[in-house]
Amino acid sequence: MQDRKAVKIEDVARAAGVSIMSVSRALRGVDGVSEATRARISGLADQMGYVPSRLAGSLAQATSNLVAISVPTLFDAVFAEIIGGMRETLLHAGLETIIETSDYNPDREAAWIERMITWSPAALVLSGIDHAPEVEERLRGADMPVMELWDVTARPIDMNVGIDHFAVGREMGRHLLGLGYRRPAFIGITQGRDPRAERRMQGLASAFEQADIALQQVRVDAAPSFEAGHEGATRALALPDRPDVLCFLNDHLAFGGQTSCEAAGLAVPGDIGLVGFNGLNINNVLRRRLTTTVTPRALMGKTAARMLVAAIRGVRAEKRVTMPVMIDAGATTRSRLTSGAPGD
Amino acid sequence: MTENRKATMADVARLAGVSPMTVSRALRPNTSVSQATRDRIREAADKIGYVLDQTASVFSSRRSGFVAMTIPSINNANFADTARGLTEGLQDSGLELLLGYSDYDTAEEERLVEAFLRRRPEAMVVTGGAHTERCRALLRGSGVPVVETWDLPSNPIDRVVGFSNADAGARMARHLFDQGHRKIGFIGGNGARDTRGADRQRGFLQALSILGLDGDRLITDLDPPITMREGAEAMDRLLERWPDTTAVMCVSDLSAFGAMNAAIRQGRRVPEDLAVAGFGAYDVSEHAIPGITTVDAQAHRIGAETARVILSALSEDEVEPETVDLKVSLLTRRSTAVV
Repeated sequence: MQDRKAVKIEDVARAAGVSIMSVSRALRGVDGVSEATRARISGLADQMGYVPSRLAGSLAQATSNLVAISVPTLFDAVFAEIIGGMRETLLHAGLETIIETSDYNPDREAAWIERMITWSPAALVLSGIDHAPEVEERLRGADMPVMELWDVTARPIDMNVGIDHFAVGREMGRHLLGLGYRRPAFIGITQGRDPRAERRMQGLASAFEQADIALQQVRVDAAPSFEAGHEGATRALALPDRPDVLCFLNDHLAFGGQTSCEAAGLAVPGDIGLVGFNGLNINNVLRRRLTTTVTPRALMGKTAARMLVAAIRGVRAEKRVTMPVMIDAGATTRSRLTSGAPGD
Repeated sequence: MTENRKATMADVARLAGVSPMTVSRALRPNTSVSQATRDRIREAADKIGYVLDQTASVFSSRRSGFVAMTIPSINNANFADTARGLTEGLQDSGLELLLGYSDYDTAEEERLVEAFLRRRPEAMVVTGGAHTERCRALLRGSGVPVVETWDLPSNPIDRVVGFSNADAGARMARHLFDQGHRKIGFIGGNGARDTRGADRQRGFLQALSILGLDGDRLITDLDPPITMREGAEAMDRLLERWPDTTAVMCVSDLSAFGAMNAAIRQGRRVPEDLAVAGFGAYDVSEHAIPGITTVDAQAHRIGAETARVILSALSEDEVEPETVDLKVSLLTRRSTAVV
C-alpha cells in the first residue's frame, strides 16, 4: 500500500462521475449533495483508499462503526427528534448508534464515557454542554470526534451544534413585551436540573428587566411533564400578583397548564397568556395552537451528523454551529391589536 | 447442536473446513487469507450464530458488566418506561443498560444486535418477537440470556416478558361494544413494521367479528410510529368515508389524542357523538380533555420483570427459561363514557 501512488480527490471524482467540489462537499458533510450521493461518494472514497491530504499518513483507522450517544432522558421528545435527525446521515455512512440515558446524573454520564472510550467508538455525542469537569478533560485528551448538542458554548470539547438558549428566552421576552404583557411568570422544574431551561429563563428575565419588570418564578419538583405544567400553572394562578402570561419550560408543560386554566374557568388568551417552547409535535393537533419558539431539532441532528461523519473521515470543517429559531405566534397569547396601551 | 451452547471459533473452523488459526487470522484485516476463504468463514459464522469479534481482548472471559437492549423508537414514553424499569432493576447488581434503537426496522435491529454481541453483553433484551432469521441465529448462538419483551412470541428465542397485543385489541373492542357501539373504526399502521400494533388490530377485528360486527372501518395505511398529527389526519379521513361511525380505537394514545382533537375540531362531541380509545396509558391520555380510555401495558413493570428474569438467569443455579405474561388492564375514562 505504501508503494502505491496516493489516490487523489480527482480520482474519486472521476470514478464517481461528479465534480471535485461534490466530492469535497460529500466528505466534509456540508450541504449541496443528496444523502444518496454522499453515501456513494464516501463509499467509493473508502474503497479506493482516498485519504484527505491534510491528514494523509496520520489518520488512524476508526476501529468501530459505533456512534455512542448520551441523552439525559428518553422521556424527552427533543433529544429523540435530534437523534432521529442524525439517523439517515449516519446510516448512509455505515454507522450504528447506541444510546445511554444518564437520567440527569453527571456521574453516570462519566462512568458511561469511561466505558465508551475503551470501546473506541467512531464518535461520541453528548447532550448539552454541562459535564463533569473530569469528563471534559478526559475527552479533550481523547483522540476521537466529540459532538456536544442542543446548547452552544464558546469553548466546546470538540464540535458543537445547538441553539443559544439565553437568546431564545430574551427574544420571547421582547415579543411578549411588544404584546403588552407586564406580569410574566416562568414555570419550570427544580432549579439546576435542566441548565438549558435556566438559561432561557435568564434571557426572559433580562428582556423584562429592560422594562423594569420582574419575572416571577414557580418551580415544580417533578420531571418535565404535563403534570408538572398543570401543577405549576395552578400555583401560578394563586400568586398574590396574578401573572398575565405564563412562560413554561416547554410545550408539554404549557399543555398541562392549558388544562389547569380551563379547569379554573380562565379564558386563553383573554384572561391569561400561555407560552411554550420547542414547537413539539403536540402543537400540530392542539385545539388552540400554543405560542412557542420553534427549534429545528431534526435539522440540528442532520447538521451534527454530517459534521461527525466528516470528522470520522478525517475532515474537519466547522466546529461550532448555532442554529436559528423562530417564534410561532399562536392562539394562546393576545394579538398585537388588542395589546395593552403603551405605558400601562 | 444444543440451542444455548455458545458457538465457538472452533465450531466455525470445523464448519468452514479450515483451522482455528485461519479463522482467527481471517478476523483481522490485512492478513493473508483469501477473499473466498474469508467469505466461507463468514458464512459458517453466520450459520451458527457466531459473532466475529473485533478485538481479541473480548475473547477473555471477564465480565463486560452491561446489558444491551434494542427498542423500536426512542421517542416513545412506553419504551422509555420499560428501559427505566430495567435500569432500576439492574442497579444493585452493578449492571449497566445500553440501548440501541431500530426505528421499527428488523434489518437495523439485526445490525444493532450484532454490534452489541461483539462487545459481549451479559444479557440481550429485544422488543417484540419479530426478528430477521440471522438475528434469531445470532441471539440463539450468543450464549447469554435473551429476553423478548412487549409481546408473547409463539416461537420464543429464550425468555419472554410481555403480554398479548391481540388480547389488548380484543379487550378494547369488547369495551366499546359494551358501551353500546356497533359502528366501530380502527386507526393504525401498516403491520410490516410494527407487528405489535398489527397484533392489536388483528385482535380488535377478531373480537368485532365474534360480536357480529363489521370490521371494515379501517385507516391502516400509516407508517409507524404514528404521530399525533397522523392520527388527526386519519380521523378526518375515517369520518369522511364513514360519517356514521360512533367509536374509534387508535393503535396508540398519541394517535388517539390527535384523532380526538380532529373530531372535536370538526364539531363532534366526545364522547356524546363519538367515543375515542387508545393504547399504552401515555401521560397525554390522562391530561387530555376529555381523558382518553386506554389499555395499560404496564411498561415499567415489563422492565422490572425483565431485570428479575435476567438476574435469575445469570445466577449460579440452573434456571429454566421462563415466559412472563403480564396481563393488560383497561383504563376507562370519559372519552368512551355513556352519556
